[in-house]
Amino acid sequence: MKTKMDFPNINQRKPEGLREDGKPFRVLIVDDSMFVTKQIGQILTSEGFEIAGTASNGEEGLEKYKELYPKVDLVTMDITMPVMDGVTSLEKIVEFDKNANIIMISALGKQDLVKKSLLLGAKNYIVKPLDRKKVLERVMMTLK
Amino acid sequence: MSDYFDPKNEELLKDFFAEAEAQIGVLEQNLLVLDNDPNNKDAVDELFRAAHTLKGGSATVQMDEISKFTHLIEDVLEEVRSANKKITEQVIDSLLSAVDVLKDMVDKRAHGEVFEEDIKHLTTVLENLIAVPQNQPKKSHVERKVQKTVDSTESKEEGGLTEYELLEFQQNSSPDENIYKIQVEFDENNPMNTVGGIQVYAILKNLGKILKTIPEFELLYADNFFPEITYYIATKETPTAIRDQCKITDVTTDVSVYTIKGQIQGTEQGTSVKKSIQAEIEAADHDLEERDFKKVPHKLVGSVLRVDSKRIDTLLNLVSEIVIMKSAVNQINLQFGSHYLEFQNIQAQFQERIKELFDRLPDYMEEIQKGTSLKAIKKNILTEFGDLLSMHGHFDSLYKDSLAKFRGTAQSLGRITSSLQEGVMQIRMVPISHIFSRFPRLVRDLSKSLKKKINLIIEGEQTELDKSIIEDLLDPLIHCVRNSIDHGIEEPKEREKLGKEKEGTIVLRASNEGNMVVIEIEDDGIGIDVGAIRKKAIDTGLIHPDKSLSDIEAYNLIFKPGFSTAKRVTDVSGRGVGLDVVKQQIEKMNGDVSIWSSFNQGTKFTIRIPLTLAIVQGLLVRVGKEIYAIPITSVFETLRITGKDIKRIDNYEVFNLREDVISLIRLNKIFNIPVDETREYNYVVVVGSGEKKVGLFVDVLIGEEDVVIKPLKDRFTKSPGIAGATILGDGTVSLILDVNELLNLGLEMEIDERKKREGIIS
Repeated sequence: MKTKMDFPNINQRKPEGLREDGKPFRVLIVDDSMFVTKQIGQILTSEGFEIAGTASNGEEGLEKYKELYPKVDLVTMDITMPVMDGVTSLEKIVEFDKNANIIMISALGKQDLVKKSLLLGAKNYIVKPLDRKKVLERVMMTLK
Repeated sequence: MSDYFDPKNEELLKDFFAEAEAQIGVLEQNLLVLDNDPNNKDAVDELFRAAHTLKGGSATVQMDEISKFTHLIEDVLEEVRSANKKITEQVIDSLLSAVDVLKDMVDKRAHGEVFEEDIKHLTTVLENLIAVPQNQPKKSHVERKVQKTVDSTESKEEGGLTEYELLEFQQNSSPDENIYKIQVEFDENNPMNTVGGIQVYAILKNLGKILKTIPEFELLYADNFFPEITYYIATKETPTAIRDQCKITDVTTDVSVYTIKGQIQGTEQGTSVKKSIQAEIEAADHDLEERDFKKVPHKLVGSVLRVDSKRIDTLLNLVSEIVIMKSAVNQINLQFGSHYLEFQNIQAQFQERIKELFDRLPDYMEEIQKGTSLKAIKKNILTEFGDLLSMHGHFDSLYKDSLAKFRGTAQSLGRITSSLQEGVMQIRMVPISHIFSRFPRLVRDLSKSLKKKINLIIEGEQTELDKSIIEDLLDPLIHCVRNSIDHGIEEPKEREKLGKEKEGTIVLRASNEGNMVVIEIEDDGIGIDVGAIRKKAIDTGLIHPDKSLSDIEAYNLIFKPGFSTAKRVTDVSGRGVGLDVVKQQIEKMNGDVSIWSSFNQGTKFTIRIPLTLAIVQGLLVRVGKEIYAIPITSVFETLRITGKDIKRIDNYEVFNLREDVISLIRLNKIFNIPVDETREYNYVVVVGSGEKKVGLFVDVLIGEEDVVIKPLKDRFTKSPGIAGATILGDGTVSLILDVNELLNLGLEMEIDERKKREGIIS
């Protein structure tokens, strides 16, 4: 009911973040920027997704994924991060679970890395600045 | 990209610093634009782009503190751009201080250090600006879907494949797979429009085997955008499934699937999704033309050219002329060589003949004794040895020819060299907007902290100046502008009382004046109170109470060290340090600064500086055996005086120049050079800056020449009165006089001498 104020029409449709069986999709957010993490988190929770965990670098992300597996449906992965970058992390996660749904979060100008990630098995990508509609659109496209 | 660059690559770093500076400039300027016009969308975009470039750049060179901080700024800008955050003065202020921090960070890095100051406070302010995203209704993104069915004939087309390729594809695919040709059109407006091709590639790769793409994979993987890409794929999936998978909002605008070899004759293939009607029309247009994908222009990002290429072209032209000139000189060299050989030849013949003549002389004598007339003998000699007279004629004309050629070449060489010099100087020229652009921010901050309203007008920012001068000019200009804001412009209330507009105006103006650039800083403030200056000057003992003071003299007094009539000291100015420094710095650049003021109407600083520092016109003079160069800009005139003209006042030498009395400085005394002082007359070069004039006593005037200033680097050899050294055409070193220092030096010597004398008397 709290979110109703923000989303006037939320009651008229099923929130995107719920599966057929009514349980939420579980998301792992890997990003070194707390703002992006916060932003993605807010966009997704407002649609009923469950934030299964967050990680602030690629290595942490990989560990979190292994820890959560199989109770995780989607990963958002920043490309530029300290310790281990997103592309390497993606590679390792795909190695571990080749059906992992990973969406790359990229800043403009990182086309080459985005391409590399897509070829390595990322399901999709989102370009920063993040836009609510775009994020949801890409997430849903990946989960379908 | 970042993976391939060595972060310690110096070239890269150089580029990065240049770019970072530019981007910070863009940030600052656009923030100021936003300050005046909060709805300016372009400015926000511009800001965003600059922040982004800076972030990317700093990450590339692994300057994490910069990229992190820029990231934060970017986040704030993101809020501004998505209109979640209203642009308030507070936002602008905190962003401006963030830009300052960025400047410091880059500056530190440029000096090989890392920024370590505590900026927690600022980061918290910025973080607080990143509000919780409000979920406002987004613009409905209407997508018009147009279904279209494609003629069955089209679905069977072989899509421009050669028979060979088709055969190859069939061999590469298993019998239960279909081969499809998938034409995908991409949205150019996508911010990462070059990724789409690979994204679709990745999707198709998961569905089956990709046989071929047009354009080729390598081209897709490079940073190119293609409006349309064709993929050939062998898969078991249905055309509908393929189509659905390839539909990516904002990335693909149209997907058409054609069966090339298939068991199921798809009735549904070829349906397409259209983003807009327009896209469809475009697509139709596209179908009409065969496009060569390799010709799709590919944007080169970040190619920065800081010198107008025309200038380089001019240089290149000149260089090619010099090359031609070189071959001409070579030719002349050869000619002179062959002339010399010829000369030797002729000379040998000549000597031979002379010898013959000598040998014949006794015969002639004998003939005279025999009684042959002198006339007949002369005639005989002429017929026998007449060729002696004309022997050198041929050589003479040849030599003259070559000499004329040589002179012509030397002349054009001189002409080209001076053009070349000018051209190279031109490259060093940068528009003064480089430093002028910093003033809007400065004026804004200062006027805010002083609660004054000030409108800054900038004129002539395209005026060009030598790069080295421009850098040294910033501080003096800031001093002057600060002075105008602090002491010149009155507070709004006071201005109203005086019947002026509430908002004060400061004009920053640059213009060319011959070889000089004139910069004016003009305000419409209170002006300079001559009375106050006079009083202060008398109080501090700078002038004698009886001395009458012209306005100009009074204005120039404010350039004296420690002189300030400001009633209060603010943190901006008024401490009496400043204007004297301005004068010093400007004079160091061979320029001068003057001031004009009218009470209650305003003040104008006028700064005049030479276009370039490295080369000056100098007057060469000789003292004893030494040759000195005096910058021509400080030479007023030269004259010849005899010993009678020199008079003595208080034991120092002066002479009359029209109605002025000018003191004389003997350079030989200052530089300890032995000279012959008994000569009848001497040359005097009258030099000076501003109101001060002095005559320099020299032995000989040599002439005017361009001299290239070389600094005297060793500080132990730094001697007062010398600005630098230059190398003359014949290779000798000549010292360049620093006229201003010389004036002070002369003054000091006078004072010393007077003190000595007074000491003796008392």
